[in-house]
Amino acid sequence: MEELVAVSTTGSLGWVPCGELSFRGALARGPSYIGAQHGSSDCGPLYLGAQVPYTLRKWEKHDLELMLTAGRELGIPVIVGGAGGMGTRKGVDRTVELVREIARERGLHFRMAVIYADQDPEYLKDKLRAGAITPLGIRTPVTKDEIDRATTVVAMMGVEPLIAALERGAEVVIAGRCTDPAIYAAIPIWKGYDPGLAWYLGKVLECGSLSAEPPSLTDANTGRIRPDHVVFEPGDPKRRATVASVASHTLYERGNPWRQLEPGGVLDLADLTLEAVSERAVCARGARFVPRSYTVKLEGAARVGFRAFAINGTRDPIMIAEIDSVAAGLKAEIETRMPGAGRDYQVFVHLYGKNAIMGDLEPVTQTAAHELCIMVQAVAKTEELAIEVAEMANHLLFDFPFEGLKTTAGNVASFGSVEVFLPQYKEVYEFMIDHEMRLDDPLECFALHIEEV
Amino acid sequence: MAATVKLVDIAKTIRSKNAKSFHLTVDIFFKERPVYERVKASGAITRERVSTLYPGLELTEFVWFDPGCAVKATFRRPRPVGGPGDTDVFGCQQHAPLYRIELPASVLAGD
Repeated sequence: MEELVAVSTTGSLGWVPCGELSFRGALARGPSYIGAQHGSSDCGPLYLGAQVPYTLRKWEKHDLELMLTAGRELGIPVIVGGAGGMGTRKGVDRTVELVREIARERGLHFRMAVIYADQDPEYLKDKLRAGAITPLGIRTPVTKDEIDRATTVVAMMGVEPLIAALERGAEVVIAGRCTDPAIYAAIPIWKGYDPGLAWYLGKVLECGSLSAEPPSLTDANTGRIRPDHVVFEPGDPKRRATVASVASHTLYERGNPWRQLEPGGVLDLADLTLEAVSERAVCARGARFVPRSYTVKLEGAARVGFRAFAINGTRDPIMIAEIDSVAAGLKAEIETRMPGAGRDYQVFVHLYGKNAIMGDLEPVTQTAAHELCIMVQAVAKTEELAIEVAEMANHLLFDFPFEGLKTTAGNVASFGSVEVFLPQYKEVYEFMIDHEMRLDDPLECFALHIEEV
Repeated sequence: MAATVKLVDIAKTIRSKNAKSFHLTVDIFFKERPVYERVKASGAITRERVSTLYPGLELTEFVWFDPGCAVKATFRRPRPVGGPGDTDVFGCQQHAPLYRIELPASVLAGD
Protein backbone atom coordinates (compact mmCIF):
# COMPACT_ATOMS: atom_id res chain seq x y z
CA MET A 1 0.00 0.00 0.00
CA GLU A 2 1.17 3.51 -0.76
CA GLU A 3 2.41 5.04 2.50
CA LEU A 4 5.06 7.13 4.22
CA VAL A 5 6.25 6.70 7.78
CA ALA A 6 7.31 9.80 9.68
CA VAL A 7 9.48 9.57 12.77
CA SER A 8 9.36 12.39 15.30
CA THR A 9 12.55 11.94 17.29
CA THR A 10 11.66 14.32 20.10
CA GLY A 11 9.40 17.26 20.71
CA SER A 12 12.34 19.50 21.53
CA LEU A 13 15.83 18.72 20.29
CA GLY A 14 18.19 18.39 23.25
CA TRP A 15 15.60 19.40 25.88
CA VAL A 16 16.96 16.37 27.67
CA PRO A 17 18.70 13.58 25.73
CA CYS A 18 15.86 11.92 23.82
CA GLY A 19 14.74 8.38 24.65
CA GLU A 20 16.92 5.98 22.65
CA LEU A 21 14.65 2.98 23.19
CA SER A 22 11.70 4.85 21.73
CA PHE A 23 13.84 6.03 18.81
CA ARG A 24 14.93 2.45 18.03
CA GLY A 25 11.30 1.36 18.26
CA ALA A 26 10.30 4.07 15.80
CA LEU A 27 13.08 3.09 13.37
CA ALA A 28 11.77 -0.48 13.35
CA ARG A 29 8.59 0.77 11.62
CA GLY A 30 10.34 1.37 8.30
CA PRO A 31 10.60 5.15 8.38
CA SER A 32 10.58 7.35 5.29
CA TYR A 33 12.06 10.39 7.08
CA ILE A 34 13.16 11.57 10.50
CA GLY A 35 12.31 14.92 12.02
CA ALA A 36 12.64 16.98 15.17
CA GLN A 37 11.65 20.43 16.21
CA HIS A 38 14.03 22.57 18.10
CA GLY A 39 12.43 25.96 18.19
CA SER A 40 9.64 27.22 20.34
CA SER A 41 8.47 30.65 21.38
CA ASP A 42 6.98 28.88 24.37
CA CYS A 43 10.05 29.49 26.52
CA GLY A 44 9.58 33.23 26.13
CA PRO A 45 11.18 35.95 24.01
CA LEU A 46 14.67 35.71 25.55
CA TYR A 47 15.83 33.02 23.14
CA LEU A 48 14.73 34.97 20.12
CA GLY A 49 15.95 38.34 21.34
CA ALA A 50 19.30 37.24 22.73
CA GLN A 51 19.66 34.43 20.15
CA VAL A 52 20.80 32.06 22.88
CA PRO A 53 19.98 28.35 23.10
CA TYR A 54 17.69 26.93 25.77
CA THR A 55 19.17 23.47 25.57
CA LEU A 56 22.64 22.16 26.32
CA ARG A 57 24.96 21.66 23.35
CA LYS A 58 25.84 18.20 24.68
CA TRP A 59 22.21 17.06 24.68
CA GLU A 60 21.48 18.62 21.32
CA LYS A 61 24.48 16.71 19.98
CA HIS A 62 23.14 13.48 21.46
CA ASP A 63 19.84 13.83 19.61
CA LEU A 64 21.38 15.02 16.34
CA GLU A 65 23.87 12.19 16.39
CA LEU A 66 21.07 9.62 16.62
CA MET A 67 19.10 11.27 13.84
CA LEU A 68 22.01 11.76 11.45
CA THR A 69 23.41 8.29 11.96
CA ALA A 70 20.03 6.63 11.42
CA GLY A 71 19.25 8.89 8.47
CA ARG A 72 22.47 7.92 6.69
CA GLU A 73 22.14 4.23 7.53
CA LEU A 74 18.63 4.08 6.13
CA GLY A 75 19.22 6.61 3.36
CA ILE A 76 16.27 8.79 4.37
CA PRO A 77 15.98 12.57 4.92
CA VAL A 78 16.52 14.21 8.30
CA ILE A 79 14.74 17.51 8.98
CA VAL A 80 15.28 19.83 11.95
CA GLY A 81 13.04 22.90 12.22
CA GLY A 82 13.59 25.94 14.40
CA ALA A 83 17.24 25.03 14.74
CA GLY A 84 19.29 26.52 17.52
CA GLY A 85 16.35 27.28 19.80
CA MET A 86 14.31 29.95 18.08
CA GLY A 87 15.52 29.38 14.56
CA THR A 88 17.52 32.59 14.30
CA ARG A 89 20.57 32.78 12.05
CA LYS A 90 22.93 32.44 15.02
CA GLY A 91 21.00 29.44 16.30
CA VAL A 92 20.91 27.77 12.89
CA ASP A 93 24.67 28.34 12.54
CA ARG A 94 25.26 26.72 15.96
CA THR A 95 23.30 23.65 14.93
CA VAL A 96 24.98 23.51 11.52
CA GLU A 97 28.38 23.58 13.22
CA LEU A 98 27.27 20.71 15.43
CA VAL A 99 26.08 18.75 12.37
CA ARG A 100 29.48 19.24 10.70
CA GLU A 101 31.23 18.13 13.88
CA ILE A 102 29.15 14.94 14.11
CA ALA A 103 29.74 14.22 10.41
CA ARG A 104 33.52 14.56 10.90
CA GLU A 105 33.53 12.34 13.97
CA ARG A 106 31.28 9.70 12.46
CA GLY A 107 32.61 9.84 8.91
CA LEU A 108 29.17 10.75 7.54
CA HIS A 109 28.69 12.45 4.20
CA PHE A 110 25.53 14.06 2.91
CA ARG A 111 24.05 17.01 1.13
CA MET A 112 22.82 19.53 3.70
CA ALA A 113 20.39 22.35 3.12
CA VAL A 114 20.49 25.30 5.50
CA ILE A 115 17.47 27.59 5.48
CA TYR A 116 17.50 30.92 7.28
CA ALA A 117 14.35 32.59 8.57
CA ASP A 118 15.79 35.94 9.71
CA GLN A 119 14.28 38.92 7.99
CA ASP A 120 15.96 42.01 6.60
CA PRO A 121 14.46 45.11 8.30
CA GLU A 122 14.31 47.01 5.01
CA TYR A 123 12.38 44.19 3.36
CA LEU A 124 9.96 44.22 6.31
CA LYS A 125 9.48 47.97 5.98
CA ASP A 126 8.69 47.55 2.27
CA LYS A 127 6.15 44.90 3.20
CA LEU A 128 4.72 47.20 5.85
CA ARG A 129 4.35 50.04 3.35
CA ALA A 130 2.61 47.64 0.98
CA GLY A 131 0.09 46.77 3.69
CA ALA A 132 1.27 43.15 3.80
CA ILE A 133 1.87 42.99 7.58
CA THR A 134 -1.19 42.72 9.77
CA PRO A 135 -1.77 42.07 13.51
CA LEU A 136 -1.86 38.54 14.89
CA GLY A 137 -0.98 37.96 18.58
CA ILE A 138 -0.22 41.65 18.96
CA ARG A 139 -3.34 43.54 18.06
CA THR A 140 -1.84 46.84 17.02
CA PRO A 141 -0.09 47.37 13.69
CA VAL A 142 3.65 46.99 13.75
CA THR A 143 5.68 50.20 13.36
CA LYS A 144 8.97 50.91 11.61
CA ASP A 145 10.43 51.76 15.00
CA GLU A 146 9.53 48.33 16.36
CA ILE A 147 11.12 46.67 13.35
CA ASP A 148 14.32 48.60 14.13
CA ARG A 149 14.20 47.89 17.86
CA ALA A 150 13.83 44.13 17.49
CA THR A 151 17.22 42.47 17.76
CA THR A 152 16.12 40.09 15.06
CA VAL A 153 12.87 39.21 13.33
CA VAL A 154 12.15 35.70 12.12
CA ALA A 155 9.38 34.46 9.87
CA MET A 156 7.93 31.00 10.43
CA MET A 157 8.33 29.05 7.24
CA GLY A 158 5.79 26.61 5.92
CA VAL A 159 6.44 23.42 3.97
CA GLU A 160 7.57 25.10 0.72
CA PRO A 161 11.15 26.05 1.72
CA LEU A 162 11.65 22.53 3.11
CA ILE A 163 10.34 21.03 -0.13
CA ALA A 164 12.63 23.33 -2.14
CA ALA A 165 15.57 21.96 -0.14
CA LEU A 166 14.50 18.35 -0.75
CA GLU A 167 14.04 19.03 -4.45
CA ARG A 168 17.66 20.10 -4.59
CA GLY A 169 18.64 16.72 -3.21
CA ALA A 170 19.14 17.66 0.44
CA GLU A 171 19.50 14.63 2.71
CA VAL A 172 19.72 16.76 5.83
CA VAL A 173 17.70 19.96 6.22
CA ILE A 174 18.57 22.38 9.01
CA ALA A 175 15.85 25.01 8.96
CA GLY A 176 15.44 28.19 10.94
CA ARG A 177 12.10 29.24 12.43
CA CYS A 178 9.47 26.91 11.06
CA THR A 179 5.95 25.97 12.05
CA ASP A 180 6.32 22.73 14.00
CA PRO A 181 3.87 20.66 11.94
CA ALA A 182 5.60 21.73 8.69
CA ILE A 183 8.62 19.58 9.60
CA TYR A 184 6.44 16.48 9.20
CA ALA A 185 3.96 17.77 6.63
CA ALA A 186 6.58 18.76 4.03
CA ILE A 187 7.48 15.35 2.63
CA PRO A 188 3.93 13.96 2.37
CA ILE A 189 2.76 17.17 0.68
CA TRP A 190 5.76 17.03 -1.67
CA LYS A 191 4.86 13.43 -2.54
CA GLY A 192 1.26 14.35 -3.26
CA TYR A 193 -0.52 13.15 -0.13
CA ASP A 194 -3.61 14.93 1.15
CA PRO A 195 -2.39 18.19 2.71
CA GLY A 196 -5.04 18.04 5.47
CA LEU A 197 -3.80 14.65 6.64
CA ALA A 198 -0.19 15.77 6.23
CA TRP A 199 -0.66 18.87 8.39
CA TYR A 200 -2.58 16.88 10.98
CA LEU A 201 0.20 14.29 11.02
CA GLY A 202 2.58 17.16 11.76
CA LYS A 203 0.38 18.58 14.48
CA VAL A 204 0.20 15.25 16.36
CA LEU A 205 3.91 14.46 15.92
CA GLU A 206 5.33 17.92 16.67
CA CYS A 207 5.94 17.19 20.35
CA GLY A 208 7.32 13.66 20.10
CA SER A 209 5.29 11.31 22.30
CA LEU A 210 3.49 14.07 24.16
CA SER A 211 0.46 12.87 22.19
CA ALA A 212 0.78 9.37 23.74
CA GLU A 213 -0.09 7.79 27.09
CA PRO A 214 1.85 8.22 29.27
CA PRO A 215 3.01 11.39 27.54
CA SER A 216 6.66 12.20 26.91
CA LEU A 217 8.04 15.26 25.16
CA THR A 218 11.39 13.61 24.49
CA ASP A 219 10.39 10.16 23.25
CA ALA A 220 9.96 9.23 19.62
CA ASN A 221 6.62 8.87 17.88
CA THR A 222 5.57 7.72 14.43
CA GLY A 223 2.85 8.54 11.96
CA ARG A 224 2.03 6.34 8.98
CA ILE A 225 0.27 8.38 6.31
CA ARG A 226 -1.76 6.74 3.56
CA PRO A 227 -4.02 8.32 0.94
CA ASP A 228 -7.06 8.56 3.23
CA HIS A 229 -5.79 8.22 6.81
CA VAL A 230 -2.89 8.49 9.24
CA VAL A 231 -2.00 5.98 11.97
CA PHE A 232 -0.09 7.13 15.03
CA GLU A 233 1.93 4.73 17.16
CA PRO A 234 4.66 5.75 19.61
CA GLY A 235 8.13 4.25 19.38
CA ASP A 236 8.34 3.16 22.99
CA PRO A 237 6.39 -0.10 23.52
CA LYS A 238 5.37 1.12 27.00
CA ARG A 239 3.50 4.07 25.51
CA ARG A 240 0.22 3.99 23.63
CA ALA A 241 -1.51 6.30 21.23
CA THR A 242 -5.15 6.43 22.33
CA VAL A 243 -8.09 8.37 20.97
CA ALA A 244 -7.94 10.47 24.14
CA SER A 245 -4.21 11.14 23.95
CA VAL A 246 -4.25 12.08 20.27
CA ALA A 247 -7.33 14.28 20.76
CA SER A 248 -5.65 15.85 23.76
CA HIS A 249 -2.65 16.86 21.71
CA THR A 250 -4.91 18.23 19.00
CA LEU A 251 -5.99 20.89 21.50
CA TYR A 252 -2.52 21.47 22.87
CA GLU A 253 -1.32 25.08 22.72
CA ARG A 254 -4.08 26.03 20.31
CA GLY A 255 -6.60 28.78 20.83
CA ASN A 256 -9.21 26.99 18.74
CA PRO A 257 -8.62 23.35 17.80
CA TRP A 258 -11.18 23.31 14.99
CA ARG A 259 -9.32 25.74 12.77
CA GLN A 260 -5.53 25.90 13.03
CA LEU A 261 -3.78 28.53 10.96
CA GLU A 262 -0.74 27.45 8.97
CA PRO A 263 1.15 29.16 6.15
CA GLY A 264 -1.14 29.16 3.12
CA GLY A 265 -4.19 27.72 4.76
CA VAL A 266 -6.19 26.49 7.68
CA LEU A 267 -6.12 22.98 9.09
CA ASP A 268 -9.86 22.37 9.41
CA LEU A 269 -10.77 19.55 11.81
CA ALA A 270 -14.56 19.81 11.60
CA ASP A 271 -14.76 16.30 10.10
CA LEU A 272 -11.91 14.73 12.07
CA THR A 273 -12.51 11.20 13.31
CA LEU A 274 -10.17 9.23 15.56
CA GLU A 275 -10.41 5.50 15.98
CA ALA A 276 -8.29 3.02 17.94
CA VAL A 277 -6.91 0.41 15.54
CA SER A 278 -4.90 -1.52 18.13
CA GLU A 279 -4.02 -1.33 21.81
CA ARG A 280 -1.49 1.37 21.01
CA ALA A 281 -2.33 2.88 17.64
CA VAL A 282 -4.92 5.43 16.52
CA CYS A 283 -6.19 6.12 13.03
CA ALA A 284 -7.18 9.66 12.04
CA ARG A 285 -9.35 10.62 9.07
CA GLY A 286 -11.16 13.69 7.86
CA ALA A 287 -8.60 16.45 8.48
CA ARG A 288 -8.83 19.05 5.73
CA PHE A 289 -6.53 21.82 4.60
CA VAL A 290 -8.43 24.84 3.36
CA PRO A 291 -6.21 27.19 1.35
CA ARG A 292 -6.22 30.90 2.11
CA SER A 293 -3.85 33.73 1.20
CA TYR A 294 -0.24 32.78 1.84
CA THR A 295 0.96 34.31 5.09
CA VAL A 296 3.74 33.61 7.56
CA LYS A 297 3.97 34.60 11.20
CA LEU A 298 6.61 37.18 12.09
CA GLU A 299 8.23 37.22 15.51
CA GLY A 300 10.54 39.84 16.89
CA ALA A 301 11.73 40.65 20.39
CA ALA A 302 13.42 43.72 21.83
CA ARG A 303 15.41 44.07 25.01
CA VAL A 304 13.53 45.92 27.70
CA GLY A 305 16.05 45.61 30.53
CA PHE A 306 18.08 43.41 32.80
CA ARG A 307 16.91 41.16 35.60
CA ALA A 308 18.16 40.45 39.11
CA PHE A 309 16.54 38.61 42.02
CA ALA A 310 16.51 38.80 45.80
CA ILE A 311 15.36 35.47 47.25
CA ASN A 312 14.49 35.12 50.93
CA GLY A 313 12.18 33.14 53.16
CA THR A 314 10.13 33.74 56.29
CA ARG A 315 8.99 31.24 58.92
CA ASP A 316 7.38 33.87 61.16
CA PRO A 317 3.58 33.43 61.47
CA ILE A 318 3.09 37.09 62.33
CA MET A 319 5.02 38.23 59.27
CA ILE A 320 3.09 35.74 57.14
CA ALA A 321 -0.18 37.21 58.42
CA GLU A 322 1.11 40.70 57.52
CA ILE A 323 2.81 39.68 54.28
CA ASP A 324 0.67 41.78 51.94
CA SER A 325 1.54 44.96 53.80
CA VAL A 326 5.19 43.90 53.93
CA ALA A 327 5.23 43.33 50.18
CA ALA A 328 3.52 46.62 49.37
CA GLY A 329 5.61 48.48 51.95
CA LEU A 330 8.85 47.04 50.65
CA LYS A 331 8.06 48.06 47.08
CA ALA A 332 7.09 51.56 48.22
CA GLU A 333 10.22 51.90 50.35
CA ILE A 334 12.50 50.93 47.46
CA GLU A 335 10.71 53.34 45.16
CA THR A 336 11.07 56.15 47.70
CA ARG A 337 14.76 55.58 48.23
CA MET A 338 15.67 55.02 44.59
CA PRO A 339 14.49 57.58 42.01
CA GLY A 340 13.31 56.44 38.60
CA ALA A 341 10.73 53.78 39.51
CA GLY A 342 8.62 52.90 36.49
CA ARG A 343 11.02 54.75 34.23
CA ASP A 344 14.42 53.21 34.94
CA TYR A 345 13.36 50.14 36.83
CA GLN A 346 10.40 48.03 38.00
CA VAL A 347 10.05 46.01 41.20
CA PHE A 348 7.91 42.87 41.42
CA VAL A 349 7.41 41.12 44.75
CA HIS A 350 6.45 37.48 44.23
CA LEU A 351 5.19 35.66 47.31
CA TYR A 352 5.73 31.94 46.81
CA GLY A 353 3.38 30.11 49.15
CA LYS A 354 0.71 32.76 48.65
CA ASN A 355 0.12 34.01 45.11
CA ALA A 356 3.38 34.23 43.16
CA ILE A 357 2.18 31.98 40.37
CA MET A 358 -1.31 33.33 39.72
CA GLY A 359 -0.93 36.88 41.02
CA ASP A 360 -4.20 38.78 40.74
CA LEU A 361 -5.95 35.68 39.40
CA GLU A 362 -5.27 33.71 42.60
CA PRO A 363 -8.63 32.78 44.16
CA VAL A 364 -7.12 31.69 47.50
CA THR A 365 -6.77 34.82 49.56
CA GLN A 366 -5.55 33.33 52.86
CA THR A 367 -2.47 31.19 52.63
CA ALA A 368 -2.27 28.14 54.88
CA ALA A 369 1.50 27.99 54.53
CA HIS A 370 3.71 28.21 57.59
CA GLU A 371 6.63 29.52 55.56
CA LEU A 372 6.84 31.73 52.48
CA CYS A 373 9.43 32.55 49.88
CA ILE A 374 9.69 36.25 49.11
CA MET A 375 11.20 36.66 45.69
CA VAL A 376 11.85 40.16 44.48
CA GLN A 377 12.32 40.53 40.76
CA ALA A 378 14.07 43.72 39.69
CA VAL A 379 13.95 44.70 36.02
CA ALA A 380 16.06 47.75 35.19
CA LYS A 381 17.61 49.64 32.28
CA THR A 382 21.08 48.49 33.25
CA GLU A 383 22.45 45.40 34.93
CA GLU A 384 24.01 47.54 37.67
CA LEU A 385 20.69 49.17 38.48
CA ALA A 386 18.88 45.80 38.56
CA ILE A 387 21.46 44.52 41.05
CA GLU A 388 21.10 47.69 43.11
CA VAL A 389 17.31 47.31 43.33
CA ALA A 390 17.58 43.63 44.29
CA GLU A 391 20.26 44.40 46.85
CA MET A 392 18.07 47.12 48.32
CA ALA A 393 15.23 44.60 48.64
CA ASN A 394 17.52 42.08 50.29
CA HIS A 395 18.81 44.52 52.86
CA LEU A 396 15.53 46.29 53.58
CA LEU A 397 13.72 43.02 54.15
CA PHE A 398 16.19 42.02 56.85
CA ASP A 399 14.67 44.46 59.35
CA PHE A 400 11.53 45.57 57.56
CA PRO A 401 8.94 46.70 60.14
CA PHE A 402 5.44 45.25 60.32
CA GLU A 403 2.52 45.20 62.73
CA GLY A 404 3.10 42.86 65.69
CA LEU A 405 6.82 42.31 65.04
CA LYS A 406 8.31 40.13 67.82
CA THR A 407 11.69 39.28 66.44
CA THR A 408 14.36 41.94 66.24
CA ALA A 409 17.21 39.72 65.04
CA GLY A 410 16.24 39.51 61.38
CA ASN A 411 12.99 38.97 59.46
CA VAL A 412 14.07 36.67 56.73
CA ALA A 413 16.12 33.54 56.23
CA SER A 414 18.74 33.89 53.52
CA PHE A 415 20.19 30.74 52.08
CA GLY A 416 23.87 30.20 51.42
CA SER A 417 24.72 33.88 51.27
CA VAL A 418 23.03 37.25 51.21
CA GLU A 419 23.89 37.99 47.60
CA VAL A 420 21.68 38.97 44.71
CA PHE A 421 20.85 36.18 42.27
CA LEU A 422 21.45 36.70 38.58
CA PRO A 423 19.96 34.40 35.97
CA GLN A 424 22.16 32.71 33.37
CA TYR A 425 20.94 35.28 30.85
CA LYS A 426 20.28 38.60 32.55
CA GLU A 427 18.56 40.35 29.68
CA VAL A 428 14.78 40.68 29.63
CA TYR A 429 13.04 40.75 26.29
CA GLU A 430 9.51 41.34 25.12
CA PHE A 431 7.83 40.27 21.93
CA MET A 432 7.40 43.48 19.90
CA ILE A 433 6.36 41.75 16.72
CA ASP A 434 3.81 38.96 16.55
CA HIS A 435 2.19 39.66 13.21
CA GLU A 436 1.19 38.01 10.01
CA MET A 437 2.97 38.81 6.72
CA ARG A 438 1.50 38.11 3.30
CA LEU A 439 3.94 36.64 0.79
CA ASP A 440 3.78 36.65 -3.00
CA ASP A 441 5.97 33.56 -3.07
CA PRO A 442 6.31 31.12 -0.12
CA LEU A 443 10.09 31.09 -0.70
CA GLU A 444 10.65 34.82 -1.01
CA CYS A 445 12.01 35.50 2.47
CA PHE A 446 13.83 32.27 3.30
CA ALA A 447 17.45 31.99 2.13
CA LEU A 448 18.42 28.45 1.15
CA HIS A 449 22.03 27.25 0.97
CA ILE A 450 23.28 23.85 -0.09
CA GLU A 451 26.45 22.41 1.37
CA GLU A 452 28.19 19.08 0.71
CA VAL A 453 29.22 17.70 4.09
CA MET B 1 -30.54 19.36 48.19
CA ALA B 2 -29.09 18.42 44.84
CA ALA B 3 -25.91 16.42 45.13
CA THR B 4 -22.90 17.81 43.30
CA VAL B 5 -19.52 16.51 42.20
CA LYS B 6 -16.35 18.47 41.74
CA LEU B 7 -14.87 18.72 38.27
CA VAL B 8 -11.45 17.69 39.58
CA ASP B 9 -12.94 14.36 40.66
CA ILE B 10 -14.50 13.44 37.31
CA ALA B 11 -12.25 14.98 34.65
CA LYS B 12 -9.41 13.01 33.11
CA THR B 13 -7.24 16.06 32.47
CA ILE B 14 -7.45 19.71 33.49
CA ARG B 15 -4.65 21.92 32.24
CA SER B 16 -3.55 25.38 31.19
CA LYS B 17 -0.90 26.35 28.66
CA ASN B 18 0.20 29.23 26.48
CA ALA B 19 -1.50 29.32 23.11
CA LYS B 20 1.22 31.14 21.18
CA SER B 21 2.73 34.10 22.99
CA PHE B 22 -0.27 36.22 23.85
CA HIS B 23 -2.96 33.78 24.87
CA LEU B 24 -3.55 31.35 27.69
CA THR B 25 -5.71 28.33 27.00
CA VAL B 26 -7.38 25.94 29.43
CA ASP B 27 -8.55 22.45 28.52
CA ILE B 28 -10.81 19.99 30.32
CA PHE B 29 -11.00 16.37 29.14
CA PHE B 30 -13.47 13.70 30.22
CA LYS B 31 -12.81 9.98 30.38
CA GLU B 32 -16.14 8.72 29.16
CA ARG B 33 -18.20 10.07 26.32
CA PRO B 34 -21.58 9.71 28.12
CA VAL B 35 -20.27 11.76 31.05
CA TYR B 36 -18.88 14.33 28.62
CA GLU B 37 -22.21 14.54 26.81
CA ARG B 38 -24.11 15.00 30.08
CA VAL B 39 -21.66 17.64 31.31
CA LYS B 40 -22.02 19.47 28.03
CA ALA B 41 -25.82 19.32 28.29
CA SER B 42 -25.90 20.25 31.98
CA GLY B 43 -25.00 23.89 31.41
CA ALA B 44 -22.59 23.76 34.36
CA ILE B 45 -19.61 24.60 32.20
CA THR B 46 -20.25 27.68 30.16
CA ARG B 47 -18.29 30.56 28.72
CA GLU B 48 -19.59 32.72 31.60
CA ARG B 49 -18.76 30.19 34.34
CA VAL B 50 -15.18 29.69 33.14
CA SER B 51 -14.78 33.41 32.65
CA THR B 52 -15.67 34.15 36.28
CA LEU B 53 -12.76 31.94 37.38
CA TYR B 54 -10.34 34.20 35.54
CA PRO B 55 -11.55 37.66 36.53
CA GLY B 56 -10.23 40.47 34.43
CA LEU B 57 -9.03 38.29 31.56
CA GLU B 58 -10.60 38.68 28.15
CA LEU B 59 -12.04 35.38 26.97
CA THR B 60 -11.44 34.99 23.25
CA GLU B 61 -12.62 31.43 22.55
CA PHE B 62 -14.89 28.88 24.20
CA VAL B 63 -15.35 25.64 22.29
CA TRP B 64 -16.48 22.08 22.86
CA PHE B 65 -14.38 19.47 21.07
CA ASP B 66 -16.45 16.31 20.67
CA PRO B 67 -13.74 14.13 19.08
CA GLY B 68 -11.71 14.44 22.28
CA CYS B 69 -14.54 14.75 24.86
CA ALA B 70 -13.07 18.11 25.73
CA VAL B 71 -13.93 21.73 26.33
CA LYS B 72 -11.51 24.59 25.85
CA ALA B 73 -11.44 28.25 26.78
CA THR B 74 -8.81 30.72 25.64
CA PHE B 75 -7.97 34.08 27.19
CA ARG B 76 -5.62 36.94 26.47
CA ARG B 77 -2.61 36.40 28.70
CA PRO B 78 -2.54 38.68 31.77
CA ARG B 79 0.96 39.77 30.76
CA PRO B 80 3.17 38.94 27.81
CA VAL B 81 5.11 35.70 28.07
CA GLY B 82 8.54 36.04 29.62
CA GLY B 83 8.35 39.81 30.02
CA PRO B 84 8.95 41.77 33.22
CA GLY B 85 7.03 40.25 36.12
CA ASP B 86 5.90 37.06 34.36
CA THR B 87 6.07 34.11 36.78
CA ASP B 88 4.60 31.38 34.60
CA VAL B 89 6.44 31.34 31.30
CA PHE B 90 4.66 28.25 29.96
CA GLY B 91 1.33 29.30 31.42
CA CYS B 92 0.99 25.74 32.68
CA GLN B 93 0.10 26.50 36.31
CA GLN B 94 -3.04 28.57 35.82
CA HIS B 95 -5.50 25.68 35.81
CA ALA B 96 -6.26 25.14 39.50
CA PRO B 97 -9.35 27.42 39.68
CA LEU B 98 -11.10 25.00 37.29
CA TYR B 99 -10.87 22.25 39.90
CA ARG B 100 -13.53 24.12 41.84
CA ILE B 101 -16.27 23.88 39.26
CA GLU B 102 -19.19 21.94 40.70
CA LEU B 103 -21.46 19.82 38.56
CA PRO B 104 -24.74 18.10 39.30
CA ALA B 105 -24.02 14.52 40.39
CA SER B 106 -26.46 13.38 37.71
CA VAL B 107 -23.72 13.89 35.09
CA LEU B 108 -22.17 10.67 36.36
CA ALA B 109 -25.16 8.48 35.55
CA GLY B 110 -28.09 8.76 33.22
CA ASP B 111 -31.69 9.07 34.37
